[in-house]
Amino acid sequence: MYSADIRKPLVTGGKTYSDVTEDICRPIENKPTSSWWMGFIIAVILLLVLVVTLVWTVWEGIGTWNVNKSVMWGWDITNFVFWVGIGHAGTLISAILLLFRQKWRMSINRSAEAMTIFAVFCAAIFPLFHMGRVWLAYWALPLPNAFGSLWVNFNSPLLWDVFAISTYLSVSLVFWYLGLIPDIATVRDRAKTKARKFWYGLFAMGWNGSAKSWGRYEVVALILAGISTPLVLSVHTIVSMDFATSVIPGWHTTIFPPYFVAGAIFSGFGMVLTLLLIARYVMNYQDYITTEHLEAMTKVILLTGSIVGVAYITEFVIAAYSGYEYEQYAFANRMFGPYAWAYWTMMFCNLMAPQVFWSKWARTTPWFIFVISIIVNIGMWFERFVIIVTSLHRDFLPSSWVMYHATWVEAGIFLGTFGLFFTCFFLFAKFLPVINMSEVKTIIKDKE
Amino acid sequence: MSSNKYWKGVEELEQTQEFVTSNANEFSEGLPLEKVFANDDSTRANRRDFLKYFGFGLGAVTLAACNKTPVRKAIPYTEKPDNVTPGVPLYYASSSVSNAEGFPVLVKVREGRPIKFEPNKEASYFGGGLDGLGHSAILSLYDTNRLKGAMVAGKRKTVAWADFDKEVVSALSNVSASGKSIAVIKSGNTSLVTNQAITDFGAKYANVEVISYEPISYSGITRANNTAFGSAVIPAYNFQNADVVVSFGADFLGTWISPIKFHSDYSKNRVPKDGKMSKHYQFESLMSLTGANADVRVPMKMSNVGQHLIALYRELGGATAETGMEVAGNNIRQAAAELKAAGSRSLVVCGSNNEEDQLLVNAINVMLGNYGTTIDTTNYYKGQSADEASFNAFVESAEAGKYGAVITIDANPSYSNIEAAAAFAKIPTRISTSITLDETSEAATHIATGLHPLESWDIKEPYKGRFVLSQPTISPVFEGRHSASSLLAWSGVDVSDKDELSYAYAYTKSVFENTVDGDFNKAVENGLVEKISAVSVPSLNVTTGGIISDITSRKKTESELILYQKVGVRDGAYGNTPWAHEMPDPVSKVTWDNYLSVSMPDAKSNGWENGDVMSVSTSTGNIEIPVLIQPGQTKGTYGIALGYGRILPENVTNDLKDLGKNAYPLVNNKEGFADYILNGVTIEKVEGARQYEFGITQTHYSIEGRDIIREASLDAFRQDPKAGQHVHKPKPISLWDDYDYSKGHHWGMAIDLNACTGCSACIVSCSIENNVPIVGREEVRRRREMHWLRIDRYYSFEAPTKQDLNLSIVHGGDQTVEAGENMSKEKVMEAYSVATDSHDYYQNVQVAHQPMMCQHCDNAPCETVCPVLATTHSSEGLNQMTYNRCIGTKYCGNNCPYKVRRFNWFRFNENEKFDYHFSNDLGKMVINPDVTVRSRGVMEKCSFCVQRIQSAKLTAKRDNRKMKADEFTTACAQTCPSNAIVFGDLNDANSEISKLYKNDRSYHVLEELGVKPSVQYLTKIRNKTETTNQIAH
Amino acid sequence: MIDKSIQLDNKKFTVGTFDDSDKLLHAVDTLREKGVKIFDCYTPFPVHHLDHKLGYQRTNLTIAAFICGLIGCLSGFTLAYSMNVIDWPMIIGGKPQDITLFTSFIPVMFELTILFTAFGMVFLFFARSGMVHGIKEDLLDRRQTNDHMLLAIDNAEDQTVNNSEIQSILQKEGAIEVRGTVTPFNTSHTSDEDLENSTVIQEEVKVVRSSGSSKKITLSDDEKSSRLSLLKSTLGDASGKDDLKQISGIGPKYEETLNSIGIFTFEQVSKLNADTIKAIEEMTNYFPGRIERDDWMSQANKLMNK
Repeated sequence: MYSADIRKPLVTGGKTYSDVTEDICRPIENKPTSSWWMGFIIAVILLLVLVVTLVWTVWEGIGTWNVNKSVMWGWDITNFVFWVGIGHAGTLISAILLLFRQKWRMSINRSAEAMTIFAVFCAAIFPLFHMGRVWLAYWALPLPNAFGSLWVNFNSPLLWDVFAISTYLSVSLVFWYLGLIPDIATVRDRAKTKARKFWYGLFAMGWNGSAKSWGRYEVVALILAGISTPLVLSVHTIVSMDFATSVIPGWHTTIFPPYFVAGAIFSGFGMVLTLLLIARYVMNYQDYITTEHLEAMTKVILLTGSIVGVAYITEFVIAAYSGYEYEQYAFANRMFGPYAWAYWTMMFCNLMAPQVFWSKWARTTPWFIFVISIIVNIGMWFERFVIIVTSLHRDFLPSSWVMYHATWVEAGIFLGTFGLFFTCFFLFAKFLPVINMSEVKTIIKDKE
Repeated sequence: MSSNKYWKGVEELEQTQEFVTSNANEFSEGLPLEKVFANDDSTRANRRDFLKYFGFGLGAVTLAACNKTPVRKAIPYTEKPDNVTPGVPLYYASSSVSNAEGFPVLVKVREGRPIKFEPNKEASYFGGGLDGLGHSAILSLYDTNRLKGAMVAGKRKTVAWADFDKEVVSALSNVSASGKSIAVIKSGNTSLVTNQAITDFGAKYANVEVISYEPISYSGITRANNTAFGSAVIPAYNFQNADVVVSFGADFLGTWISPIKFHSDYSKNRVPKDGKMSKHYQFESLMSLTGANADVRVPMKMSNVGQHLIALYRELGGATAETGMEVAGNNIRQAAAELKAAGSRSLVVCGSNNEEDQLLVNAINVMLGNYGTTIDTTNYYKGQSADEASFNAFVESAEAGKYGAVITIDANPSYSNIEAAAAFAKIPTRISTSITLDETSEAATHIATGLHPLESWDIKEPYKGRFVLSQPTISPVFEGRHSASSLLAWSGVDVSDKDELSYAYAYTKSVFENTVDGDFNKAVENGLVEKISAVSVPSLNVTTGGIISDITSRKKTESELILYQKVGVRDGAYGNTPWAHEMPDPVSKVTWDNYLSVSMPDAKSNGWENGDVMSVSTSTGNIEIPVLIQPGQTKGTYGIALGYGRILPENVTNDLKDLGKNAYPLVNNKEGFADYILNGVTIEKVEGARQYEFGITQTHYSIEGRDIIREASLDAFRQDPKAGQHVHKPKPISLWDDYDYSKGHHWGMAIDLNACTGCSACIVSCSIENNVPIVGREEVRRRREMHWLRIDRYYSFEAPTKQDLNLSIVHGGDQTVEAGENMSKEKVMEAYSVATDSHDYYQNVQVAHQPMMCQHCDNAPCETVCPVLATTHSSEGLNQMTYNRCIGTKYCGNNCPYKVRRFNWFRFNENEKFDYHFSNDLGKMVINPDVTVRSRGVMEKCSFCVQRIQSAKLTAKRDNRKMKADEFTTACAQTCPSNAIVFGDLNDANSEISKLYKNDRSYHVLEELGVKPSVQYLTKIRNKTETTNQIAH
Repeated sequence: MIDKSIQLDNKKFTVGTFDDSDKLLHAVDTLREKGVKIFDCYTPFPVHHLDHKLGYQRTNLTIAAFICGLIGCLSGFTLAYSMNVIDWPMIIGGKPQDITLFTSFIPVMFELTILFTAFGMVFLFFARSGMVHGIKEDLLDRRQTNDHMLLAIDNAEDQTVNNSEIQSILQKEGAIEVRGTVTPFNTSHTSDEDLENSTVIQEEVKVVRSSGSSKKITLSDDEKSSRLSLLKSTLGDASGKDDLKQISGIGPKYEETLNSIGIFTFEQVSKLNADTIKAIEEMTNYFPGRIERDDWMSQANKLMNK
């Protein structure tokens, strides 16, 4: 059997198959720990904040936000792109790394995929609720109209978004669920209560691990991975087109698609790292999420961070070279205008901070990685903020130049989405195996 | 809440047994639910019960759900009034409401509701335009604060007119009997009917004194004319005859005397024709709307206005001694030379209320020969005709107890004159004919609630010999009575209706026959009868020597406070018309507030910032007011607008309640006439006061050197009609063939930046035509005003001369200025200011106004991005907004390069928070039924008044003809007093717009984007000799 | 559609249980060489090459995926074209209302391609494998989704070698358990007790302990007894015997087993720790992890304090 000695074991601690099952099922089958409860309750409180702020928004109107006649998108779309970006890492970890047969992904891909789905949930809230009439959101779907012909606009990047995000969400869900089936079967077969037997039995869909099914299963998983990769690239490309196809200086840039995709991977890996390091610490998964994993991921951060950094610089060079005064002003305004603080925060967090990962020590020291991952998350939020707000607040006609600051409602919604995200994540951690048992079992032997 | 206990009947009060039992079960019969759910085994629900409940629940839910949309019925006329066709507006000739002198207008009436003022284009003498306040004053008709009928002090309840009259007559008779006087204080309006009624009233009672009162005094002019020519009048000014206009602090385009007419007249010479246009010099201290449009604007202290006039007088050849003044010598000399050259085709005006200043102006105009050409004292102006001296005498005598009764007719002196307010209290009987509870009627003992001008008959005479008739356009909304009828009723005349026609009609007709004479019906239809006399030139009988020495001996002061009027609010008489308040001030762009306007050098040297609250002390009083820094203002001058700080009834709860500070108490009346220039003002920052935030619609001053407004000097334009247009830009290329608009109509608009003065009347006209919501100060602060049309105002600096730059290098030490070719003018100026450590150059700014509305781009960027096709293009070139389809993603708004799309952030209609008179039951009467009231969450924007286009098309179709060129126009174009906006069909070769599109001056804003706007702008030409004064690109 | 060959129905199987995938693969090879028809194998994780060795053909789901994608792509175009060009042509940003709008359709066509491929394929996979929500699983051993790999041979199938020989081959190939007549069952509809008693315990199990083949770290007997000695000496003996059956997870049979290694009282059970549990599990061959999972310790504690 193949075993690469030059690599460090991906699963440490001399685990047996049954140890894997045991370790991974333990949080599901035991009563939740007090730290789970604490985290869960905090998450639910934040979720309530989301509910309250959204209800308030719908009740009173988008006027409860501070978006105005020039900056019509503010924190809402910033957060949308932020969350979608975070979501992308999940799919990439499972799909691209599956295609490249990167085995180190195995212990993290399940939670990364879950993160994708929950992040897309969070993301979807923003384009929905930023609508003035959210109750008519379904009009963005190509549905027949009771009053005769009236269809959607296939020229609109927002419509592309509708297709992209919904495809992305549903394909990710399917991909994730497919991966869960064998593990759900494992939990089912260990279940002791009627309810558990019923629910896990329901979702295991009669899986019994037959070799024939495994054969088909692996092919399906591979193809799903294969199509998920262009999907994830297309989604952020399309998100970037929301800006790139417009006429607004600072938005109207052809570099956006690759730059957004790199940014998405960057921010997504940042978020995955943040979550993994917390999970690793709280759930004692040091044996499954080893420094080897962390190091591999920091390398991705370093690469994508540098790509993003190059993109930032390229934008400036192109703006300067274009000879187009509005474009030049937009970028000068980013650097030295009233939102320069946001711009320099972005530059520090995204371009400068990840460069520490050239050092081996930085790549293998969990607390340090955690700090950098948080910085990356902050930086990527600011990247979207800078792109959206600084471009809109000063565009062509100086008469319409404005400033924009969020209200408590906008801040509450943003905070609340973390509540939604973590509520989902805590429930996921409680009811589903957070690590793909069947995959991890295939690499146990690799250590020998 | 009231703590009173209300009871339904004696049973409840006494709590009888039956009542208690039946009350516990209020529907005493009860619903027959028991029967429905009756069951053998009533203790336990069984399966059939479940089905019943379930079925009932389902049915109930279904029924409840059916109730979603209430049925609204349109009730047809049982007896259709003559001439009224539902859906077709009627236009009545009438006179303006806000301009009390009686400006001719048309009132658009839909199904019995007056909904809009439109200019009476046939009254060409008056200019055929309207101003913002004039438009917004229509809301005063539907003001919920209007009084509902006659009232007697103490009880805020209406009483029957017969009882009321009895009480008033007995009170007045007592006064007459006691030998005290009755004062009738009327406003400066020119109503012949009221005047006649006052005369009739005076005949009935002994000791009646008639005093006319206006909050703003122009007595400087009348007194000067009295001295100089023996006639105490304000003359008619004819700017259209002036090739050179020199104004010393007179804001004649904004607030001075009769700005609408001046606007139209002035702008006739402002569009270069055959290489010629008028030249306008403005010497002023605050940046006024007029100053903003001047070719040469010279910052000056208003307290020095006399010195300037002397200098001009001397330059023109008037024999005077040297004054040794240091001010603006060059500009005065230049102005004098040009005035001389223009001869009688020139005009010098002055905004000072000082008789000596005005005498000098008269002398100058006489010297130039302007009487008879640009100044007409024969067919003089009759409005604003206050008699200040007798009013001051009244105040004095009232204090002494001379008067037993006072009747105020359409006047509100208690607001604008604190001494009057105190004097009123000394008069036992105070009768007001106000229609709302204003400061004067609040303090009155009797309120003979009058009628709104739109409800009444009237004949006004704004200019001598020009009679403007108004007729009721709606039957009285409340139980008011024409003030003339009231006066007559108290004189013992029976004023009850006759033959279903009001007494006021008969009376007006008789007044007409006695004074105007002619066909009354024809006059009412046209709204205007002109019987002017041949102009005679008066001769000056005054010597200037004494005046000049008086002026030169005036004390000079470091600082001065100028009390001025704002274009939107004027004297404050219509202080609670929200449209006027939300109209941004044309110069400062501030809404809803007045402020202490200070110059940049003063602000910088004192460290003041916008919104700092200041304590302003003058010899007349003290006021606390926030600061606004105003470029263009002269160093050492400060300004506060009058017309704010109205005390409104308690039921007004929104921003209208809290409208700035009343500066009238600061007016200096000490010398017998009002002086609006206060010398020796001290200003201190109020420590600890919170920074005040203005609702301001434009916060960026500079155009940043962008090619948005193109301008050129007249010299350059003469040499090259395309001057200012030579901007190197790539021609946009299209990926596909453009849509062919050559069939049918293709609508377009042209805006002449030379004609546009920025007066903002179009903004209000557009808002009323299109039911644009009023959002209030807080939302404007959040930059959410809903105006479909805005006027952008940019400041630019005159480029520093080489000498200035050398100076800066000398002064700046190491901070040398490199004024490279690539440096923008703003940068140069900034470096200059750093080097010289002064901001004095902020006094010398140029202003440009640019109306900006939806450009109806043929390649509209907003259309492509809408996911639901809520905004699309019509085959006639209109960018259309389908409100119903809009889901509110706001993407279109972001992608609009002109930022003209407006989003309904809240439910502005039917929302108490935004109840600016216009969304309550009464206010809704003003809504234009042809335009949808937008719901919350949808985008809206200028539609090129598509309802007018459709109605014009329908009219043409009904008449079975082709549409005529320029048959109709948009609300903004229609109201523009200077005719700066032209709208029409580009496919019609005869239309004015197609001709303008071929004009060499025309260009598109941001044409390099390739969006192909349908609005063209015409290059602004400044009448200047230097070519350096165009904005750097 | 449904692949009938994977349905276990009510057949009886001879089952060999492995704990090592290499051994399983070798056993498959050996049996196939002998001409034995293997019904199927059941593994908790995908064992590479197992399907080839069992002689399964590569699935043709890939072709189905391509067709689904093609349909998605075409429907994307049809949707956009019929809506924006045929049925509801509007002037949008001055763009022509014809096929040149195609460029705007590409994102939607792409997304629908992906969507149709993913869903088409997954549903086909579910259909082919007979997977539906709520279907009862057919198991031969509860541990087949955990740590054991099963090799199942349909007893009804005609084989070249007889059943007992198959069993001995399986034993030789290193199966840790070989069972002769196993009927499929499902966990969802059987109680725990029944399962333990009927399916596993009462099954005629031939345990072959091949020393060294197990990956488990086994304790030596000495170690086991030393770990238990403390428990035995201090905390009780047969004289103070408690009814251990009261503890959930301990049946009458297992009580006897526990007694046989010297555990009689609740007190002893309540004092179990990781070390002793490991020893007990190994000595009694009990479900690894169950003791901790069911938390016998606190159960015993509660019973003790009653």
